[in-house]
Amino acid sequence: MRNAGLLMIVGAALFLGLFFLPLWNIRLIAPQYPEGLGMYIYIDGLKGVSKNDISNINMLNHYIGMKHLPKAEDMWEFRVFPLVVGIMAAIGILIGILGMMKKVKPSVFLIWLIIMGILGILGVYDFNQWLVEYGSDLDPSASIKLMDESGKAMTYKPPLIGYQKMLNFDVYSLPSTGGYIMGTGFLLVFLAYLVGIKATKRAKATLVYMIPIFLGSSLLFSCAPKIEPMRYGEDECDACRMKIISRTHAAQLVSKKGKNYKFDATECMIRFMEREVKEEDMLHILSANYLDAGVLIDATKATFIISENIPSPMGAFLSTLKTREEAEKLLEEHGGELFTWEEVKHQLDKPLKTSHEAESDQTNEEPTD
Amino acid sequence: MKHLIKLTSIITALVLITSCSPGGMSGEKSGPGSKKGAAEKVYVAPGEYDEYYGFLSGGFSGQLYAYGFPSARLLKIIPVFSQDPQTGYGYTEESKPMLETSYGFIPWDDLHHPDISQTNGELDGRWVFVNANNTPRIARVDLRDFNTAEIIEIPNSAGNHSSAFITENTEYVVAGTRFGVPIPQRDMPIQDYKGNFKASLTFLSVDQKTGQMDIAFQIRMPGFNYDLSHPGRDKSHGWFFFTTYNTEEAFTLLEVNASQQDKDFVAAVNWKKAEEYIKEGKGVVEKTRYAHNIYDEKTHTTTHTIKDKVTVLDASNLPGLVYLIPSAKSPHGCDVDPTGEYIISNGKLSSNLVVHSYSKIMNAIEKELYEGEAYGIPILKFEETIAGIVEQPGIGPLHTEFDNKGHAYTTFFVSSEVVKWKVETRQIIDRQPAYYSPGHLCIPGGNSRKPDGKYLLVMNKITKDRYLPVGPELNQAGQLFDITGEKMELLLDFPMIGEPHYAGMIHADKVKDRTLQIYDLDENKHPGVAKGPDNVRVERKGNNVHVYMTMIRSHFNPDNIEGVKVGDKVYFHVTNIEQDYDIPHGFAMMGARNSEMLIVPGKTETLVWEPQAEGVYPFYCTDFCSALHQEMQGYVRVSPANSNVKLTWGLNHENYE
Repeated sequence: MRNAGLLMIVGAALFLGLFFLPLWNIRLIAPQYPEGLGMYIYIDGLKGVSKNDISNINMLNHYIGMKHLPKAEDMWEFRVFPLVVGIMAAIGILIGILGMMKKVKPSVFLIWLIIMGILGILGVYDFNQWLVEYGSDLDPSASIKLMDESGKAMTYKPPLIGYQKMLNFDVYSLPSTGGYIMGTGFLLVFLAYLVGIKATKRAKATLVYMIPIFLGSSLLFSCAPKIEPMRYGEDECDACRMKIISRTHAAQLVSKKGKNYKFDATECMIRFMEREVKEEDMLHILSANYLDAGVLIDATKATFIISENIPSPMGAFLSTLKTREEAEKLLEEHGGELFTWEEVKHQLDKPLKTSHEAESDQTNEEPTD
Repeated sequence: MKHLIKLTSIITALVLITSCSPGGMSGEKSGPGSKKGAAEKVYVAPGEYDEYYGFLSGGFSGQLYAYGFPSARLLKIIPVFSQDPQTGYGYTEESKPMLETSYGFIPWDDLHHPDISQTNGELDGRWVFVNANNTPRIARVDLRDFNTAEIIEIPNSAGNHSSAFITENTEYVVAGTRFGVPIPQRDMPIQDYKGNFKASLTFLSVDQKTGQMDIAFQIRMPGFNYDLSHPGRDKSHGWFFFTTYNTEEAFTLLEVNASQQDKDFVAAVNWKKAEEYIKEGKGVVEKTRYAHNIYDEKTHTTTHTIKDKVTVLDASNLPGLVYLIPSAKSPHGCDVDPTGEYIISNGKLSSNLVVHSYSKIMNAIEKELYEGEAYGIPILKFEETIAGIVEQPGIGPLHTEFDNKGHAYTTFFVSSEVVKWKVETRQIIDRQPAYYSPGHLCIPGGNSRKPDGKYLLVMNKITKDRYLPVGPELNQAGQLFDITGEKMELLLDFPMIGEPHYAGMIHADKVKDRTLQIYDLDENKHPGVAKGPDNVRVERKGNNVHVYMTMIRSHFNPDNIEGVKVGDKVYFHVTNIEQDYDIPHGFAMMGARNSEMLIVPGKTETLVWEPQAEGVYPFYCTDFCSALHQEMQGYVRVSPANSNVKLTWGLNHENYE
């Protein structure tokens, strides 16, 4: 119980780290902001990653009518959160001390953990509510008003966690140091509980169930899959090892486990999927929109054109289009043939000649061109 | 025998053919891309940075140009001695004082020799010093923001040519006198030149923290023409060497009359001795007048003051201060090698290149090996000062620069070539044609203890057929050589602006991370600053109307102003309240008879407009700042002089009063 109490103390004390470490980080990257704008979310306010980032984000957001980011005094959360975290950490430390003195049972640790967990979930819920409001409560007289595909006025809620493309910005929202410290705190408190009840049979049963759940969730937490920005002229194709240059033909796979594969051409991606990965393991299958250079779209819903008048980087004459209408228009101008995702995969079943394969794999069938 | 004759004639023919093949001066043009490797060596991929900054003087353009090398891409025009309507330099109220002199406001000068500041004989990338040749001045450019931070006028001088070279810890910047003049200036016959016209060699101290210059002392010299100079370094630190021409003291048809004597001088100045004399009180304080203009980085404003005293040391009366070293006829460049031992005097009218030895000079001084004196200044014996002579290296040597492997590179104006030779042995290693008639040359750090012998930039005076023709006036041609190998390899031709006399090249790492991205608005102490809507206002003081305005994407505040009258003088004090990198806004007022202002984030600048007639006049942002840049505009209503229209201003129907 000594060790359990100590773990409890350390676990609860880690929450105090939130007073000086940021919980969350939101980064915005755009062509004009290659170095990115960013902000850290602390329990008691927001801070720019660089000195002027907050005002510069506000500056850009005023065009689409978003409110200024709240100052610490503008939101009750920034007053209440530190209080809650402080009190809970103090209680946690107290419980740990009592635990070391064998004055409380390990189940008290678990109760603390559950309460803290519920408070955490409430906090995340509140945070999400704020994001929704921040992203959708727009000034009606804003200079730029955009519609989404269905014709509704566009809103700009940043993702709670992960990646989202918003206008010219790639937005990443991820836990920051404080967030990870908090996760570790939760883990330690849970460990304190387990160590505390180690001797009992019930503990073993709990262990069997809880450890995989915990590990699983923490894995999920740390490897949240996200689309990586393509660094044209720098990234190499994961299939043919050539530099990715074309913004109108590049492609990317994001697996459910969070692994990214980048390709210089959609044909390379299709070939790669045949050989290396399963389609069902993929979270995103993306291909560059031929008519909107640099924008990756969902390949499984796209329309493809193979036209000998539109070359593609690896010689398949394959280009990706967002809508059937666009594809048909292109077909009229350039000739060729249209395919859906399912069709195009089979269309390329014939080996695709890449320079890499041509050199290394002499047994290949004759070149397709 | 017949065979032998046949064979000989074939060989002769072959030799003739090869010697006339492309690459020779009279043959076909050679140039960039003529060898396959050259293109790759100067290619800097999009988005990547050059390895070096090059600061090229603009000559008669009056400005300094920052280039990236090896690509030779122009990075920035730094306005120094000339007005620059694209930024408003020399037009705004804040920058006008920078171009003030004792003669009043001068909108132009001839900018010659940039020299990058040094510490322990190595380039440190803090400042670039440049000289104005016409109305003698020295300017300091701050490499944090690539702006002119200070200009100081040089009194008692004319033609400040042998300048703005620095000592190896940036203790001093020097200025010289190319045209002997009466000192102090007075009305006298020109033909009384000899013995009556004088020259000054001026040493300006540099504050190591702020960079601020001050005239420490002037050395009064005979009225020769002081052409170029360089500091002693390492072992010869403490000395400064100036080449002279017209030691004949001619005052008319100098091309003949100043080319009579077989030898002219290198003047060796012991500035440590000068410091001693100053300490001993041997300096004479003389009355004079010169301007000293300093930019304040908190108020973004330049202050112009006239100073009236200078301390003078007379070389004729103070022994040990200056020695004259006879040197090749009418020497131009005066270049000191990285060890500080060799002083190369590029005798432009001589066929030889004279290499003086610092140790031998010291020995000659110690043993008083004099061959005479001029105006009380000892003349050392020529033979006792030379390390050797580069025999017949070419015709018309002008300048020499050094690499880090003991080589010197000399330009030859008349034979239009650059010659590589070994300093120790005076042996010629390579020669390459330059197109055409090279003047200065530059190797990164080539004027320091630590040169970086990678590239050589040759600045040519004549362009002719190097580029597409553009009428009679051509930009001058710069040529970049790779000097890492035994032979120099021409990599690139590029047109330069104005007439670059000399350049300083420095590794980008020493500069790029210290550069500013914005001016901090919190630290803006400009008296006319408006930091937000609360400070925005318009005030009338008699006929002067002061507008305190802000600019931010994508509006001016205020953007409607009424109550201005014909006969008013309107001062627009405009603050760019952005704090984001590379978001300048421009301000242009219809009918303003000066220029626009380009205001970078955090800065305040002031433009004066004197409306001529009643009406409503627009102003707008000139720098495409945002998607709504075209909307960034406003109006000023101008009423008749006797009108009762109240002074009002506003933004979006809101009036602040």
